[in-house]
Amino acid sequence: MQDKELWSWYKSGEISGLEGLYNAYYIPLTNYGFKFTEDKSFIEESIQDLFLKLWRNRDSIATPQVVKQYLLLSFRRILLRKLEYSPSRLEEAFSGEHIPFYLELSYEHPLIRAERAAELKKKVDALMDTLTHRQREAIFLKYYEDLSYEEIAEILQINTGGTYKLVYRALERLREQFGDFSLLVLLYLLQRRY
Amino acid sequence: MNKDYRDYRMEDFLADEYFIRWVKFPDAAANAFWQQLSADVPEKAPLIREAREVVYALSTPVLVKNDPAREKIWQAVLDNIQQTPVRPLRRYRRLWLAAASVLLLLALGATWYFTSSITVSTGYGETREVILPDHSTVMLNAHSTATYARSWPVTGKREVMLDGEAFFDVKHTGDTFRVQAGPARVTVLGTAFNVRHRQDMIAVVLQRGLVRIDMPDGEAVPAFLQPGEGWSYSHQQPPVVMQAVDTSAATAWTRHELLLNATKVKEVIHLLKDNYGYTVILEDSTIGEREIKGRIPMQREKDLLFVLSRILDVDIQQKNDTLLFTTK
Repeated sequence: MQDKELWSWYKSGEISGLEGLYNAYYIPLTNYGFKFTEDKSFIEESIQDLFLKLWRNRDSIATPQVVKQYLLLSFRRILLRKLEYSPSRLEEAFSGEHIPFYLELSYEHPLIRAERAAELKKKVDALMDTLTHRQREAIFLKYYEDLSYEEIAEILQINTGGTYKLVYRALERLREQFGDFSLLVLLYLLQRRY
Repeated sequence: MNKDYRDYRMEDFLADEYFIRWVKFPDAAANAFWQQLSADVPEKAPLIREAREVVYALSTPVLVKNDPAREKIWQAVLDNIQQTPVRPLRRYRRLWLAAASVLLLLALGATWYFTSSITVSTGYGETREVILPDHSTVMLNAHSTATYARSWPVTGKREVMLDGEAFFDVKHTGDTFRVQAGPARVTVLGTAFNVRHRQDMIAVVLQRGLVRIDMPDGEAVPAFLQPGEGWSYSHQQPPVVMQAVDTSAATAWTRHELLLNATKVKEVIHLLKDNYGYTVILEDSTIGEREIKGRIPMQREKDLLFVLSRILDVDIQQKNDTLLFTTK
């Protein structure tokens, strides 16, 4: 609801609408960007380009179904071009695996003694390492960003069925590697806040 | 929705959009649907529970922020647009939420006012918040009982008897407020404090305000506590006042967590006994002396036991109300 309001505000030429979108999406976009690269100058430039472009093209840009998905997709395109991964041309040929995507889950907890923490970190990292870059990105967009399979498909430039399979295979892989999901359950319990 | 959940494996639940949506944004309809499913297909209920937790874990990646650049980038955008910034957005939504939560609190307060009873008790593993006739609040910890006179609204006499543990947030009305915990009587004006009365020991920790603690004739001189001070008494020893008590640890249970600061495992075991009614048997008694530090979730006792078993690296077997800790 709020996204749509901000969007129409921005479309009508109100800069406060664009600022609202910027404030709402600065953190998610930054966070998404850091999964592709550790170099923050690329991320900062991409965010700047994205919002400038939005403003300059506000008369020609159509109102998207889901504002968040549109912004993530546009941001990804700008960032990957800067990083010279040329997503549109190569993504199909390399099935996206030439684009790195690193996903770490929160695991830190003061309760766990240093050596146990190191052990847990190693296990969780190993768990995420068994996935492909594409699987990690799909998991991130699905569980963290709450996008639908359809919306993720558009970002990754594959079809909806393929996206579902990507997530499903990733989950299967996690179970094959560790026998069960108890490590993830532990992570969840330790990071809850009330 | 017409899928056959009977054949669902862990992965199927985890990848199911309707399921993920429910975990992340539960609403009444989805709650009803998944509860019904757990009831209809009971053998899938544990799987559904576990899948929920895995969805949460996968939903919390390490968040990388770049706060210092936030203003700088926006300024760069503005400079490029060559326009001066206009007034910031008004936070309609936050205002609305604040108004709604105030209304909700008022509604809750009103409900409690008209349905207040003489005795409020909690079972093992249960906590409860009670709003008293004067709108002071009592958060009652597990296995505890608070009692007060039904005539309170008429007489205006603010007095609560406590057995167990409770956190009091007392409204300042000008009249005194009393808590009777065994022989100890805590007298306050308006303040927030925790009282624990288990077996032979009584402990009071003050978060803010001022309280006075009296013992029956001759047992001890009255004690006055300042915020951050604690008072404890056990039948063998005279009462002691403690300085610089960790009030957030003493009241962590009100936030459904356990805050440990180099706490011995045997103290956690006492807590399992007091709050959940478990007797713990240690195969290796040296475990009791080990110290642990940090925050443990206590929303459900299952969580507490699971986290304890992983941290101490022990197996925990439950037989009725006995827990056996064996080294792995």
